[in-house]
Amino acid sequence: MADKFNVVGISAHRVDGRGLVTGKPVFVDDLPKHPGLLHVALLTSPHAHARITSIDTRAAEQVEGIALVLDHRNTPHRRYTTAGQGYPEPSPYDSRMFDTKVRWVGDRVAAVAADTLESAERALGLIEVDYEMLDPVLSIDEALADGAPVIHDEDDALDVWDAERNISAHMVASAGDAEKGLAESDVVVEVTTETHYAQHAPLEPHVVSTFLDEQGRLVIVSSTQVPFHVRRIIGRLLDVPVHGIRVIKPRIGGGFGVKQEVLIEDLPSLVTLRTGRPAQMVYTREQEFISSRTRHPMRIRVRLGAKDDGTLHALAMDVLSNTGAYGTHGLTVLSNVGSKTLPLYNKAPHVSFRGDAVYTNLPVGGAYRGYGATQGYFPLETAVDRLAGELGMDALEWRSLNHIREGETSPIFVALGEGREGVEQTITSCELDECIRLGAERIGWSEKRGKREREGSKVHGVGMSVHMQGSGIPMIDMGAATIKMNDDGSFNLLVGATDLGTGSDTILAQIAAEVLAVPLESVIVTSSDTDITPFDVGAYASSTTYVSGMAVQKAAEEVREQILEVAALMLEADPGELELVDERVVAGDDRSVSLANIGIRTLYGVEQQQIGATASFVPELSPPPFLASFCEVAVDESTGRVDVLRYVAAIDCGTAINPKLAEGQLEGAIANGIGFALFEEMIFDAEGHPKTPDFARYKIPGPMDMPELETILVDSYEPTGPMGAKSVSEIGINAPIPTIANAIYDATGVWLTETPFTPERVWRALNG
Amino acid sequence: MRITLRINDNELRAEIAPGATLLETLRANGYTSVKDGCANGDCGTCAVLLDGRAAASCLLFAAQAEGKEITTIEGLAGADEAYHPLQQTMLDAGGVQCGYCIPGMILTASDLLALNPSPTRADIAEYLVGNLCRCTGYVKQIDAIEMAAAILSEGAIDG
Amino acid sequence: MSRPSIAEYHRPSTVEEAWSHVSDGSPSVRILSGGTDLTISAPPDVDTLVDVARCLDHSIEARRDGSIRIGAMTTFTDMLLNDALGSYAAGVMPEMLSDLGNPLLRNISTIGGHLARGKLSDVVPVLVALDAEVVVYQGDEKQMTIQRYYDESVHRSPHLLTEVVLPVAVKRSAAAFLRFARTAFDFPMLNVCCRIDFDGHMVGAARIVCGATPLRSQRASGAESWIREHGLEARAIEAAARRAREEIHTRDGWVASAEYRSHLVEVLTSRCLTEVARRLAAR
Repeated sequence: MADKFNVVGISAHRVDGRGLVTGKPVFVDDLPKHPGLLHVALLTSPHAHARITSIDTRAAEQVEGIALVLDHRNTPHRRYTTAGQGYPEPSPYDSRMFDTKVRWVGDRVAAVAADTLESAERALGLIEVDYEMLDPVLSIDEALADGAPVIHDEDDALDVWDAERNISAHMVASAGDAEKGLAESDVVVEVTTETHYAQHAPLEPHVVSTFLDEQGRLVIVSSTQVPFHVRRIIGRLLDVPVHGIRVIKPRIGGGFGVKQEVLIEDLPSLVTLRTGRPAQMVYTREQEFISSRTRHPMRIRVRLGAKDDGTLHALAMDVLSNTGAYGTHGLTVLSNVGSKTLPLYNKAPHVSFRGDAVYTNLPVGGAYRGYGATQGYFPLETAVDRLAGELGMDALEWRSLNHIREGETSPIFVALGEGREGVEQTITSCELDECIRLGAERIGWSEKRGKREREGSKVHGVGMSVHMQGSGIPMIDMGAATIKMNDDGSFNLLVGATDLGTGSDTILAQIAAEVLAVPLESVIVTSSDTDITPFDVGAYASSTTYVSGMAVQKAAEEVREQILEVAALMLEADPGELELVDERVVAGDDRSVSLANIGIRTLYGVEQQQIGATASFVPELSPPPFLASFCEVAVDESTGRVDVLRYVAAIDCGTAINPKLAEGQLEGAIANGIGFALFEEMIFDAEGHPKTPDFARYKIPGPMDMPELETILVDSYEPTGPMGAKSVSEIGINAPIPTIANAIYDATGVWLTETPFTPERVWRALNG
Repeated sequence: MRITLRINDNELRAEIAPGATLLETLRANGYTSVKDGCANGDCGTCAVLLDGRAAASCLLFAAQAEGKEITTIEGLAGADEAYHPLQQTMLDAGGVQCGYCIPGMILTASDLLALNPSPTRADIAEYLVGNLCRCTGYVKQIDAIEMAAAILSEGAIDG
Repeated sequence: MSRPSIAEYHRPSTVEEAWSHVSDGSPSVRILSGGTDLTISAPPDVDTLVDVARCLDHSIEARRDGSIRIGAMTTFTDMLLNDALGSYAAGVMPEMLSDLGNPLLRNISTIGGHLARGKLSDVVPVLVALDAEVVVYQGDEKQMTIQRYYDESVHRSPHLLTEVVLPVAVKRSAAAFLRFARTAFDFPMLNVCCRIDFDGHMVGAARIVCGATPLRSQRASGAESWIREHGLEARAIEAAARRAREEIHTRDGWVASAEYRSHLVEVLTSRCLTEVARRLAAR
């Protein structure tokens, strides 16, 4: 399909590439500092659960260069959620800027603003806090135990499901009768898995700089994925009208969901509002690990029931999610554990989903690439392998028999959405069979599966799993784009969409250039400035290509119509017989006019006008991308070490607007997933103190830790998407855990149900 | 203390705290391409070349770099070229996502290519073991370094 | 969070001058060699740095008798690229150094600074296995085994470590090193270095040294004796590895349990000895 395009489907250089490879100051902390800058530093709780009985900041205030000390006594008490979601946020209002209670090691206690970071840190050390120690709740089981300490005992939190029982959020959904369906099934398998705490670890930590502009408006320059939500949430929290705030996102150094939190914008903002001075706050790497957000650890039980012929008959999923000290994204991540996984096997008439997100005195869960699907696919896809085994079927064959296809639907689409009911959807493109076929071929499935080839103490195995995600949140997300034409036939593309390193500025420009028949260089992108660009919900839920991309396509089409109308006058032709080709408007005969001529005429000639349009897009569907994931492992039975030797990921993401960038999304997601599967792990001591707050102890994959990785973009076209595209960014991260677990079983005959698959854990599993 | 550093063929005289790291000193003096990703020697985003060898600038006191030639990404390309081959191929191969790790990655790669002008993919991975990237999975970055090695060794043969 | 506030930075040009800064053992004074440790983990009470780059040697000298002298300021990269070290004891030094940290650290970390720091290490077990000696300056020079340097806590006393000496190697000698960690760039959860000298047809000296247990290094002397008595046949290696497991003390840590570490002692010792036997046979 891509061959019918000129700019789309080409691996163009990133539009922001020059600045990045030459090291220009493009990230928040690189930008020129405003004179009089205050540095903001944060004091965090050393205790997992305690009440602040007194706080004495007098000594701190005497430190030279201190401008302001903030704590619960002089900051707004309004409850809010740090979740950077649309309004109204489907997360409980259980947070305060500073509370009288601390709920995890790393929770906020006080902040200091000073002329230098050194002064600010010295002052932090002089703040005296008395705590009344409370019993900490350090696991899901402790949280749900009778008589457990109540973590959110405040009386002003909103939308907490059952605070007395430490349940932050609750979700049920069903179709048919799963219990009856399981009873009717010929073969039933049950799997319970536990996944662990992990951190996003973008290489650029959270960083925010604030100042008042010439008119006294608050400007927030932030490494955020959600500039418009930041404007709204900070406005409400600090009592500033939306029109009094401008949020700018420059280049940002990765997000992966952790910057979908309004995590620190409030602090420098309040400092600037109180003092009138510019302020900046940068999380240290340690704070990024301790006082940031994480992937929700979960315990999930999946039960599958099938008929003898292999058809799935019943599917039940029960989830306990640990949302940590606050409920941000707790409900929606919980929902997505089911909503992004259960529709994949739509042949089952009986489906049930039930889940609770519980509070603990551990770090706060948040949005993290994969968003619950990562946790859900582990039990689902390992249960599928077990079921296929019980049925005597090959794992590929079973999946091909049962997965959803083009033209089909699933009752779960309606029953379970983003923290509420979903919307009805029919699959409009699905090339999963082709993904499975190509992936199996490349990994050597039929030659290697079940062979258990040995070399010394190492035994080889291959495993696979299949996946779907979504493309934005239907009927909730909105993206908008503005395009205006310049006098040389170039265009400005203004989008609220937020490029967090993904390359969305580039692919959105490619879509506009394609419609407008100009080279990519003729589209100048400005993104993510709430004063300048139209609204967009931001970068999350795999939405940008599909949602913002459609807005760009629509805006470009409207601009094209305006261009053709002007050209029709110039060429004395009917607009209907005109076409845009290679920067010219061409009539059926030999007559044509260049875009530059149209541009200069409309700005300076007769019938002057600004050619331009703004378009919005709200998706009615969320077309899932599909992925077939394969790997070969070698398990050292003496040490338990699992080496992933080769990894093949074949994806149906619709049209790849920029193939290299699309592959890069998949490769990066798989890499992060492999780290999560094998070694990335936040570990806590018996009092809830983190033991892995740096990259020396929390290991993320380096180049030596990666297998040979092959990605395949399968030819596909999504009819409802821009140029046939759907999403690509998240899906890959879900794959490594079940793919590797299935491969370990293929090699050793042992099922792993707890992550990460560290050598010691595998060794223990192998030794019963 | 007063120190004099040679950075990208320029002389920088600066008054610094004796405990200031090279990373802090470079960033404070406008060399913001040198990133502060962890300040603990674990991530490689602060890499610079010291007399041509890649080094974590967060693990050096600025005073230690006196008398050495410091190169940051701003000083890598020749005066008459837009990009060093490593910068060009990093874009060509699609090795850049957020770009935060890229200056350190490219500088470390240039150290490698000085030691070993035609490295294998495994050699490249081994040399970049201290340069973390959270976005890419390294595939296209290693592609880029292979491509740059080919360009640079061609240039060497052509004289 | 709280970093030391450094007030003084000295660059002595002689060892004597350097010694004058540190001889009284003041906890506020630290010797700075590579910088990779002090930049991030100097105690908050340190206020004076003594940069020894100008007074300590950074060269490697292969002596005619086969011993090798390494100046304390030599970086790990210079050691890794050195031919004499590359062929010493079947190449165990580059084998260990090529996986040590990463190039950004190896290019600046020095052998002297690393040893004086005395923390968990891949280097120390190898040097212990090679019977390496260190030269220490405390007003005058003393040469001692690296084992004594740590056993007698010389590394904690005021001193300047000026050089490392690898002794004359016997003709038929080989060593091997193995480390076990979560990722390629990670602290080891265990490491093992073994060296075997053949004296005619018999095992002359045997060294089996485990590190990161999480102690810095321990010798498995029972296993060493076993190998001296029974040679390097497969069954003898297995028996020696079991002995090593019994005599090497391991501790629980967040990255590995004591039980698992002990298991690794046996597996890695067996593998390491097997590799040494292979290298000896290949000579």
